[in-house]
Amino acid sequence: MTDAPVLEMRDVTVSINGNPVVDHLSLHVDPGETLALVGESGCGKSLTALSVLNLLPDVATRSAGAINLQGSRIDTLSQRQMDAVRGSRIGMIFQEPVASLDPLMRIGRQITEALRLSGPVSSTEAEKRAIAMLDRVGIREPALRVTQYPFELSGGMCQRVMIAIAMIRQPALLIADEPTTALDVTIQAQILELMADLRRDLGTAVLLITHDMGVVAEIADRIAVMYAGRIVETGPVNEVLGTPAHPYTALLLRTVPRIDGPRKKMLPAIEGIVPEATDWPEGCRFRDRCPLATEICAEMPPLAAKGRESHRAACWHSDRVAEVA
Amino acid sequence: MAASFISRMAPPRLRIFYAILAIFVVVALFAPWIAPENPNSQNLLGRLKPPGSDVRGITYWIGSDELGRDLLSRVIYGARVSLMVAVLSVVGSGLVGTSLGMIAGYYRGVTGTVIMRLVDIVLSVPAILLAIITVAIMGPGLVNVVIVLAFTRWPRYARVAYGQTLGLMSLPYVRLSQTMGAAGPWVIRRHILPNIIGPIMVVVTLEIGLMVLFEAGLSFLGLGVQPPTPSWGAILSSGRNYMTTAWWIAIFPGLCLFTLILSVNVLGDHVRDMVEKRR
Ligand SMILES: Nc1ncnc2c1ncn2[C@@H]1O[C@H](COP(=O)(O)OP(=O)(O)O)[C@@H](O)[C@H]1O
Ligand code: SF4
Ligand SMILES: [Mg+2]
Repeated sequence: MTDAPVLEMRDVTVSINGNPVVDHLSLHVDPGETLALVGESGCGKSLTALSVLNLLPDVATRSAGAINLQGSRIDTLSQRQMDAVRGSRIGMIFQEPVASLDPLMRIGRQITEALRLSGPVSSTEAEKRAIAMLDRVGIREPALRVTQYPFELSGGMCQRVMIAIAMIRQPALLIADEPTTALDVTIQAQILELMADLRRDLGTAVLLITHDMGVVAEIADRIAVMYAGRIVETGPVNEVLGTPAHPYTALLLRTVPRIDGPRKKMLPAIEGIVPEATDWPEGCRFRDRCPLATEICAEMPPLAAKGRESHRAACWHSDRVAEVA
Repeated sequence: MAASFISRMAPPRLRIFYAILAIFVVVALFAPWIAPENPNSQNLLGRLKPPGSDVRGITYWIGSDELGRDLLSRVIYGARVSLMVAVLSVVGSGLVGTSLGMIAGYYRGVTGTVIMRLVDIVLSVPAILLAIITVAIMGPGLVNVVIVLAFTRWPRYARVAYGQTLGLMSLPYVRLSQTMGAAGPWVIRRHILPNIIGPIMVVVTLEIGLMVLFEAGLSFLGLGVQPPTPSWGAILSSGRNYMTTAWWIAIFPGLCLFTLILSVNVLGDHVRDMVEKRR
């Protein structure tokens, strides 16, 4: 039981108007582990995360698959039953730190609300815990901050507050959807450090969603690369980043600024964009943009099981990926 | 901050309207202490006396009516009825409409469609007509007028609350609350309501003046509060018959209606400007 994955998604499909925008996706996050889900904008990362919480937008539906949290299924629960899972067993933070806080509610109240959702707490006790949690996420003068409104805080501080809200009930899983994208680089590094810290102290498993390979290298244990609704490569971070087995991964890696490289140089982006689910090509969905594509890529989708058990890629020409980098 | 709030909410050019409104409210609240006479006591010797008349030690400051009742006292008590009906019906329709609008906006789906169709239906019938029909069925009287007004006016609040709620639904802080396990009623009460209260207050200020007018209209038609209870509409209605011989009976309640509604509307416009500027 203890080594059951904290989160396990099997063949999860999310459809919009009958088109699977997340297509038979499987992934798992082990206890205490950080899994990075990586891919360009529009490839289905956020919908994957929201499908775990059963909070998909109106237009999207989860049409297949199973989701297990700490060994028990949660995709079959009703919305009401999910309310007891959300927040207390799964916390989530996202991209817009300032907009994610209610502009009319004091910071302290927003944190204590999170506690109250688990049941009654005395207000002095709740306030004490809110202040302690703010201190824990590295906010100075927490006793003053709890009395302030979001507009009085910087973006970085708001992101720390959101982390405090998500973590105060010590969920087993934290889903972070592009948590640092809206922040400038120095703040980004601080927030990543804080998340790594908290994960170490509390043993929280993290599903980190990002399009930034630099972030991945910094704090992830494993990586799952997503393209057009599917996982195309997955494995331990150093293996995948060191010897990518899918050309998409290799191309994404080229977009990362090198520490030793010139600072402000334009980074090469991958040519083209992620096609909408209605325009996905037959065979390999990446083939329109792939420098290694051959005939077989158009005829048959590549199998996901290629490669070693821990490091797998869905590509017919994994052995030639080195040519891309 | 407090000083700047006051200067924003009540700039000098608007203070006169706040003062007028305040006077009406005070008069309505303290009518029994302010009115010189019992508004319903008749005096056959003092019928249709012009403003300033003295009859057996009673001074009719703004004249008397066809039954010799002191018009000033009647208008003062009438303020009470007018404001009470307006406030109660705005509170009633505001509560119902805002709640239904937020529910429709939050849950959407079948619930939302049913509520908003109902809004369309009620709004498609002219409000005064609906009010007249309902009073005709339920019978006149102060309580019924309030119920009727609340029942016919809630869709306006529902529309605004619905649109505002829809706008908030995609905002990250509503989403964050949901990811924390908050159910609909929790999110609506703590995050939606406080954030749409500004636009709702704009509707409230517009409706208050309208409700004063509606009450006057219904009472004028004999469908509102019943004699001898004084209400501006009812006094106007009876004064209509004496326009040539005793103009004061209709003029003074008419002036009160005019200044009260003007003040409420000017202040309402200002509230709307403030709320819109805040975005
Ligand atoms: N609310 C929505 N309405 C319509 N389409 C959506 C909505 N949310 C996402 N999509 C579509 O689903 C696909 C995946 O979106 P998303 O999961 O947000 O991608 P990512 O997070 O990787 O950028 C995109 O093609 C996007 O256009
Ligand atoms: S299967 Fe073919 S098209 Fe797809 S990524 Fe591999 S080489 Fe490129
Ligand atoms: Mg996204």
